[in-house]
Amino acid sequence: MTLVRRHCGLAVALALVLILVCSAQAETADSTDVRVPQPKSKSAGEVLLDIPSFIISIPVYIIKTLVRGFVALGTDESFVAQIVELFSQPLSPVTPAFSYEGNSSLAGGLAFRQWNLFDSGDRLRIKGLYSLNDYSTADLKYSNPGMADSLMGLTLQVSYQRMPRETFFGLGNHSEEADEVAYALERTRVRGDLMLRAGSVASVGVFGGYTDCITFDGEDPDLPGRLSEIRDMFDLTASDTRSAQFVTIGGSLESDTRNSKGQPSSGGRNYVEVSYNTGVGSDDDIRFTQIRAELSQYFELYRKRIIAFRAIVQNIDNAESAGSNPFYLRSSLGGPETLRGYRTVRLTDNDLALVTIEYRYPIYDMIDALVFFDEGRVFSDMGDEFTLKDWRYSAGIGLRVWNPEEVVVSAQVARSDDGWEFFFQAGQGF
Amino acid sequence: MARLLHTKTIGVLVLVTLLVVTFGCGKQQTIRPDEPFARDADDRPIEEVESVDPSLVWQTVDRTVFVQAEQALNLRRGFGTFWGSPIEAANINRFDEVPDCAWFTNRHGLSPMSPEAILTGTNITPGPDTTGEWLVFRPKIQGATVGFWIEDSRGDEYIIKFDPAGYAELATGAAAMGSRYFHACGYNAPQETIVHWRPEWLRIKEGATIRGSDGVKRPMTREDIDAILERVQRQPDGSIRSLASLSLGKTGAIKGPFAYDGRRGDDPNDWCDHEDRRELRALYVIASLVNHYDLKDQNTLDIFVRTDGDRGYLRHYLIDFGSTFGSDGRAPKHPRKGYANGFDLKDVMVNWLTLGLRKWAWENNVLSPYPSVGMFESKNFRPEKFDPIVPNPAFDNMTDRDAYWGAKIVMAWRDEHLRALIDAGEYTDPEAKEYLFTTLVERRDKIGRYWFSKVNPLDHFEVMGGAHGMLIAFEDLAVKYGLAPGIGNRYHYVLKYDGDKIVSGETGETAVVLSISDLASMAEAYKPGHEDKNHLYRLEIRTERQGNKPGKPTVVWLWYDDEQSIFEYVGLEHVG
Repeated sequence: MTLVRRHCGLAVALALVLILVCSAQAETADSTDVRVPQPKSKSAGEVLLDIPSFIISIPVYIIKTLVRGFVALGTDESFVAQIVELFSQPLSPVTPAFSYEGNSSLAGGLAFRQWNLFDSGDRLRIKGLYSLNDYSTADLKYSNPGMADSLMGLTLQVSYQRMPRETFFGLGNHSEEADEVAYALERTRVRGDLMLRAGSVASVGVFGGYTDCITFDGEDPDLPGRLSEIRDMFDLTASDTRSAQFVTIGGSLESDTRNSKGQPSSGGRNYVEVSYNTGVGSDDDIRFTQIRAELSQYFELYRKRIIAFRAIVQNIDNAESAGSNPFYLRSSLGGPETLRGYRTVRLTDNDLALVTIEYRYPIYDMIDALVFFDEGRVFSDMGDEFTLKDWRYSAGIGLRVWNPEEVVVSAQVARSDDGWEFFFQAGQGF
Repeated sequence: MARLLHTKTIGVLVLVTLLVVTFGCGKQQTIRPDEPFARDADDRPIEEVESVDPSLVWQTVDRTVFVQAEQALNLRRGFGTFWGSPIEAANINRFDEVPDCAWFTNRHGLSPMSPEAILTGTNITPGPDTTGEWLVFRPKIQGATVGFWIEDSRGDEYIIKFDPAGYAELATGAAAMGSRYFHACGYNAPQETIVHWRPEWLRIKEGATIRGSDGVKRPMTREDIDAILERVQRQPDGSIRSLASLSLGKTGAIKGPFAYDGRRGDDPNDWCDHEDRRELRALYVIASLVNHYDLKDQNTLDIFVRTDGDRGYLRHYLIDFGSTFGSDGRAPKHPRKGYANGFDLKDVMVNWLTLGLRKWAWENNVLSPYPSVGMFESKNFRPEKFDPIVPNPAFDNMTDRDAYWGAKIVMAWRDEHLRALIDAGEYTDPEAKEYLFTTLVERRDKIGRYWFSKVNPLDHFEVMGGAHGMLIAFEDLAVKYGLAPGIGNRYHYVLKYDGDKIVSGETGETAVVLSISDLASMAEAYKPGHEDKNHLYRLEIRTERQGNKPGKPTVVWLWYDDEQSIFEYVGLEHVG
């Protein structure tokens, strides 16, 4: 109690001293019509309030110092500055690339882009990513939309993916999150598309490709990952988990009336693709046909407040004489491009259906926020079993940074009955 | 429990003490009769200072994020705002005015300039010599517009800037008007001349270099000039209309931009934090009239003016007015510019959280029908919502008193002055000129109406004494400028000494008359003492308009000279 009283007394005494100091300062004045600059002094009261202000601002000062140091590095002549300059140039050919997804975790790498290699509006993109969960991705894509007086377009793509922690939850729409296992998949793919324009918005395409998939035991230490174990858990055959080599041929129809690819606010894109896949070498019993239809439509409510609809249907039909497909070649839902409240490839079966409604609105130049609702289902045979029951749904919000040509990056967070999912990636599905 | 109570009591006591000490002491009057300061002696000779070149990237990040955070965590500032005692400008004199200084010279705001003087603007040379060759010696690659530096046959150096293709007169007209506007308002601004010339006059000066697309410097060639000229607006006869900005190097040595906060450490004359300079705070109001959006440190310049051999002082300039009015230098302004910061974190968050349903006023902005005017409007303009490209610490510190001072300068621009300003833009389309004029008038009146409502706009006081008492005459600027009706106004006054009311009354005239008996009562109340405040009498005048409740007072300070038994008018304060 004595101590408290003493503090009380000290505070009052301090206040009196300060008031006196202030009063003394207030009396000081110049006496000329020309003011001679004097160093500005703070009153004791101002100093007293500045001290706690300084203390609570320390985190800001620390972050500020770090950022300033980085900016300084980026503006001198150092190597770092040259790297920063390289990345910060408009249309820089080399840019950093990042993505985040549950299985791979955070991935980082470089992307290289080159426009007009042959002065025909063609583009070359090479991207390499490596993730914290040892995922490796290398992707090369060349597209030339302006061949034969723009009547024909060509796309060539070569990709390699090593995915040591791919998740699988069993086949069917009722698979449980608790049954999660992790296998490893290495996939190399070559594909070429040739498109013939039929009018200003429609095109017909043919494509062909070769895919080599190698499965092996998963590398996630926290989940069952041996292929034999997975087969036992889900009552699968050896064919269901085998590696596969196969060629693909097919055709597509596309009608694209979107007014912009980066921020479509009217029109839509309708795309139908039919492909025939047949195994090669020891996998020659793989034979299946895949039909995929994707429809999207955009409506501007007002001033770039946009409602976007999307529907996807996919059917895989095995030839009667063929063996079963490995599960990773079947239709799947989950991840940043489909049912966003679920992990990537969370639901797997032969067929799928998905509908999405998304509200997009600008929050800054070339940055849109979005609120979405996805609903989807997988089927063993959609033709026989189609039902509106037991559809899985997810809802969420996100951001997308776009330019007139494409969505540059997007970040999305979604909720489903499995829980929360977060995705960050280059581009966005539609 | 008792201990807890005592701890709380101590906490409250200390807090109250801090607040009283901080904000109570700030209200002490220091007015003396031998003021006001008419001039700040911040032009005393100093050693030449080093040039500075701050990072634009850093400044944008700093002002957009860190300065805002620091301001939010500044307790003195926060309590001051809450307590109704914001930090007032540090460089004002006792009549609520800014003394002439190296930053500012009282011109049109204090004493209206003639339209001819406004049209002339900063007038050091007649503009580039159009009778001889122009030597190009450096490209201009910084800023919103491209151009190049030339030396004319008189040896004067100019930056030549252009109109963007398709928008004849847009950028050059805006910059010519902008420099004259800010000069007349009192700021230091470079000389900007509209000039018509032909490409054949150009010759590349020996040794001139340019940085190529690979970043390496190389000799400048005629092709480089032609590449620049391909992007600019040309007249049908092949001539080019340009803006010639006289190099400030003619005035002194260029020392880099000044900052809108802090002080320049190597300048002993820089005695006042820049964010506490009224002319920089009120630049917010002054710039809002002409939508000078591109207000950032990089559009300022310190010039070392030699006055005493190698010694001299720093004079502080505003530069680059290509983004004033409806111009953005390279094109018409984006409808958002001037209505939100370049990256406005607050607006982005509001957009996000309201699902984009919040409609901003600028979304209704439409391009004017005149390419030479661009995006300049008055309908959606709100004076208090003007936003420059980056948050500005001086603007953030602006008080109602500062804003009133700025609005007073804006309102001094009467119609004839605005027409003279528009003439400086040398527009060929009379309808575009009329559109500009109408828009400026509407924006000006909005500025006056808004900021004059924040204080009691009584000003230009004159105090006359005589045998029958004292007459304190003033102007009601709201009435003078047509913002309030001239009839039905009542002015309520109270004269206090040491907190005690001595005289009170009301009048319908713009003058307060203190009779002989009032003065006798005032003298009788006088308590002799050694402190200045013993001499001070406070006359508060509040205005009642059209029967509405009187608002904030304008305070007139009178000083009692007890030796001569007279009262002197020594100070004015517009309480915000």
